[in-house]
Amino acid sequence: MYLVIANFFVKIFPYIFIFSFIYLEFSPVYFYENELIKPFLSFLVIYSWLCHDVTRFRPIWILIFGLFYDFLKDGIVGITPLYFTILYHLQRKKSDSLTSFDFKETWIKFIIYFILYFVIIYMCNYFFENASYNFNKNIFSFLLTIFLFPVFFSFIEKLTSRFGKYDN
Amino acid sequence: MAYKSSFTSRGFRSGLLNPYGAEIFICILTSVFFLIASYNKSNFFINFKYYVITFSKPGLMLVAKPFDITNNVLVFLSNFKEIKNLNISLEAENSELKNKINRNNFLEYENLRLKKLLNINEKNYSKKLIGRILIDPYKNDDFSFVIDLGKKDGLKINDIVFNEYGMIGRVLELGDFSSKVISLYDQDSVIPVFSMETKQSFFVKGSDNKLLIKHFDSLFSLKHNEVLITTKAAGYFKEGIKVGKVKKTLNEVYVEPFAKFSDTIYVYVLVFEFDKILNF
Repeated sequence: MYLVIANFFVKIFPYIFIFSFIYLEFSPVYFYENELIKPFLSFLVIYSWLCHDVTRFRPIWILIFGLFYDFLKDGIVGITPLYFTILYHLQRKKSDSLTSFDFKETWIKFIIYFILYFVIIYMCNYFFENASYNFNKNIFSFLLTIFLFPVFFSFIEKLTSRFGKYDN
Repeated sequence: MAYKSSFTSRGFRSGLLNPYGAEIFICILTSVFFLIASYNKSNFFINFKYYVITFSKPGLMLVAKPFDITNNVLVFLSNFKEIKNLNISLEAENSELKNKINRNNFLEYENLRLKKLLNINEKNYSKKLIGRILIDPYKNDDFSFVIDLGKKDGLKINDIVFNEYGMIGRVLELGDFSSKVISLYDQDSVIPVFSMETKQSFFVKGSDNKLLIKHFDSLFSLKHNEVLITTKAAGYFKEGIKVGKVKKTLNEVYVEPFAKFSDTIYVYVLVFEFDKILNF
């Protein structure tokens, strides 16, 4: 019985983990009027998880995470799931698409993919939604996300290795 | 044997009904569908977004609770720093108010003693009646109206008509059960007033949409927005009813009344009881 519960917990934990980070990223925005400087936590977590254990989630879950993220974030919906689906496929097709043996290289790859995502989001919202962007706020959020990447990367690395042991 | 890396090499196994390929294809298709729907802002998309946000609101509130508590604690701590200064200012205000109360008590006591010395029995010379504005189909001007109070109610010519904002006008003509009231705006309306800040007495005369100041030479000595109240000059008017406030422009000074008879259909009338005065 204990094993069944533990197994169930191990199975659902990554999903709860990612959903809670999406909530964590957006809940202050919904309750405070001021524009907050916040890192792209959900992007960091999903990206790191794809780096370490791409087979943990099926593509449909990547779609759900992305759509949920986009629905809570104001603006065009559909870019995040599309982007993550492509990343998912790239990583699954070739495991060194997102990661590399040298962490610096992984970090640089993250920065490139993140800049790409950031620019796509910015351009889509600018052209399709006529949204006004607070440049300073977004640059701070962008830099904060890049600086936080090693922390989340190593944290999720530990989690995935722990869950890998449980799986085995 | 070497394989060339391609779209179908590792992620996909070849075959049209490859489950992974189909899933990826559906995901991309769904994303593109939402992309187009959000761009077009279709009803489906708006409703879907509404349901997603409604569904996720309890979770958002739960996650926001620690932020909310932290924010409240920080606000409380920042206010806490100001408590000392606030306390000092409140103590000073309290001391000032206590002095005023003492002064007031002393004046009341002095007033009582003076009344006793002069043997004055205080009487209320006026009473306040509530009347209603009547619709007058024969009315030919905008500056007068009829109320449902008359001689039988004790009204007299020149009794003051007012509402909660201030004076509206005075009784001009009397019937048994109704009276004609002339408003402040009428050119025949002249009211004695007193300026609260500059302490000046003068008259205001109606002039269509404002009141002109009469019998006062230094108009510009009055302060902008200062309040004017009625005085009992010539014994006609009860003192202390708000009339309007002074408006100063570059080349004129006039008075803007507080009350209009269009404010409400109910008005008050201040009736003097001259019998009491005569008996006194």
